[in-house]
Amino acid sequence: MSNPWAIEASNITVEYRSPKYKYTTFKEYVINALKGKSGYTRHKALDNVSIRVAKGEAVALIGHNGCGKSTLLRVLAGIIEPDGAIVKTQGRIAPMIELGAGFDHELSGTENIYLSCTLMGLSEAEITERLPEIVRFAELEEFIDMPFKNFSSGMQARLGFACATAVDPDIILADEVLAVGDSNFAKKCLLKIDALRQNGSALILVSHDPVAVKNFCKRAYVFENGVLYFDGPTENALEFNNKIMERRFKDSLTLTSNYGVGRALNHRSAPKVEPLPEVSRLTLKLVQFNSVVENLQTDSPFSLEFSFDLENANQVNGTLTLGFAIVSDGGIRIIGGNNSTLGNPLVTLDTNAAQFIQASIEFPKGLAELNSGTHHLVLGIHDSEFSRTIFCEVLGKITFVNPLDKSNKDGELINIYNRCKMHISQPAWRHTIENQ
Amino acid sequence: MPISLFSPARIQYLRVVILMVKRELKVKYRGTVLGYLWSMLNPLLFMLTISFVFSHMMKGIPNYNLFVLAGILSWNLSSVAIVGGTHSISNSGHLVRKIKMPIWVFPLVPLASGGVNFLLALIPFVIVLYTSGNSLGLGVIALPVVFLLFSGFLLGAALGFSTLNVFFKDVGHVLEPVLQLVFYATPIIYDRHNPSIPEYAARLINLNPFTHYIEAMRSCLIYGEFPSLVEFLIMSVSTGVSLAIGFVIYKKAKKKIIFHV
Repeated sequence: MSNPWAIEASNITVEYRSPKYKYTTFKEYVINALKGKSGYTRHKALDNVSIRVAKGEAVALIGHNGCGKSTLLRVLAGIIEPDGAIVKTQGRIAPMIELGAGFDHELSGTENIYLSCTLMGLSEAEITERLPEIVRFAELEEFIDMPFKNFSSGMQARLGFACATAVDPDIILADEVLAVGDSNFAKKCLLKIDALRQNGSALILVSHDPVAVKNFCKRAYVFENGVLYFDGPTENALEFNNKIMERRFKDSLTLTSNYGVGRALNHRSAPKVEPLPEVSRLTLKLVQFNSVVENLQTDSPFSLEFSFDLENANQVNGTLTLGFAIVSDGGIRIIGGNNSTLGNPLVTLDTNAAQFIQASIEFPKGLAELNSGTHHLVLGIHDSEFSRTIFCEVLGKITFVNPLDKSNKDGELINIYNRCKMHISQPAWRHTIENQ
Repeated sequence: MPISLFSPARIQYLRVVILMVKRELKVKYRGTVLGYLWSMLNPLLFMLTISFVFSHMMKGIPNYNLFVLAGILSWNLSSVAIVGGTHSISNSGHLVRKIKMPIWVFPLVPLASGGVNFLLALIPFVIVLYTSGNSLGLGVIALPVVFLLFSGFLLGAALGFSTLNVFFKDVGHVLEPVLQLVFYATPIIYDRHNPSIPEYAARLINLNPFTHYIEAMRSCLIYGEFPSLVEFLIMSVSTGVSLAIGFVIYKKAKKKIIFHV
């Protein structure tokens, strides 16, 4: 084959413009124009993105919500045609951007199959030929002549998936659609996509599920704020993405603790100008981290010990705050604190020497019991005013095992929080204590 | 333009239009006992009402029943195409944003379903024609041409209005009273050569493009005559202008629609 690429797209810039002064009628438009209130707030959903996908290749698009993944899929599907972009696709595209989006609620299942497959480029004869297979795959034999609006949402998604994959696509664009229906059907979908890929279909997968991404794709693109930041092996991409996530998470934590939720939201909607890959201004070297916390026993209080080196500490003046958080997989902060809220004095840095800090956090009874599952331990260092985060990193995973899995009660959590203890040993700090 | 008017992709989307028209008609008559018969009964009922109310005033018009029926068939087509067309894109936001489909499909659907209705309603028209002792003349051969010219005119209007309505919802609101005005400015229930019509009104009626399409329809359907060459010229120019304006508006705004709808 002369052209090995299924998708070649370059210079994709999609800009959503929302008028600063909202108008929906002509009168408002004229009044705004007369008052000189015109102009738009621009938001770049995609900023000069170029990607290439080979035939038969599976590539993942990862990034947090709203980073431009779905917009890119819509560009590749031809729904949005950005100015100046060059999008070359080879063959038939099965867009699974929102399963069942093109279906008409008034039509029956069969009629919708005709409509949907016609939209994807099948002729009437081809559809008639494939109809039984589609119905069988969607497991809708008894219901296929019912109006689509009477289908359950699972049935709608199943039909959507069956239609999209029945057209022998050369390119599959899948946006978070791998979890269709019950687990049996989901497995069937995964097998189907795999089979299509074996036959040479290119797959672009948008997913927040790292396992699915790893299973399907050898290569991944990472997006942040519409910019393509990373293109490489999936493992590395996921790691890179985690870094971004932590950073965002830490940003929201810091801001929430200082300014309240309102400011934090404002901050997040504002465009970020900082370049990303630079995680910290201070190079911290973690010397040792006690990660013997996998599968922690329930009901027992436990403690984490860790120590680290601070290099280039002379970049920071004054005092530091050492904080930690345990964060669930879903990004919910289970518990957290810092040496100042937990009753320890601030860490004072000797700005002239490299620092060696040892710290331990004691967790009380009951924490594991209330929060079974695998969580992430995040450690951060801020300056004393919380205005700057110097270091913030997920240090490891903690698995709480609890057969009883009790519900999460706020009151108890607060109690546990108050019972947390933190010990920090650091030469300079000890020195301060002794002085007091 | 490298793409021809009937590229395979276009034909594929014309098939989509057909499916959507089927859907429209199905939904329209769902739950009715008479179903598609309503497409034929409706104009007949309207004709009876109008004849009942106005026939003594319109004594100068021979076969007033047929006169009104032919007018109303054409008017129904235009109001369905324009009103339905204008709202077609803004009401299909969920499809525009999620499905790869050229946007011109949407305003084309109401026109096409109006066209189907028009063709269905020709059946009762012919029945009325023959039962009142008249018959179709040779002029009916020109009907497809007139119909196509009229459809083209309506398509242009629907395309332009539907695009504008995405950006300014006023278009949809202003449409109804304006169409009401156009209805009365078109010789649908009256004859424009009636001497009681003042001259300025007659001139206005003459300027109204609908007048020419509807009179051409009548000459094909009732009088069995070909519309005059001048009439054909007027219709062709109106259709051309309407299509040109509609397409220019559509082309200019096409890529922005998805961000506004």
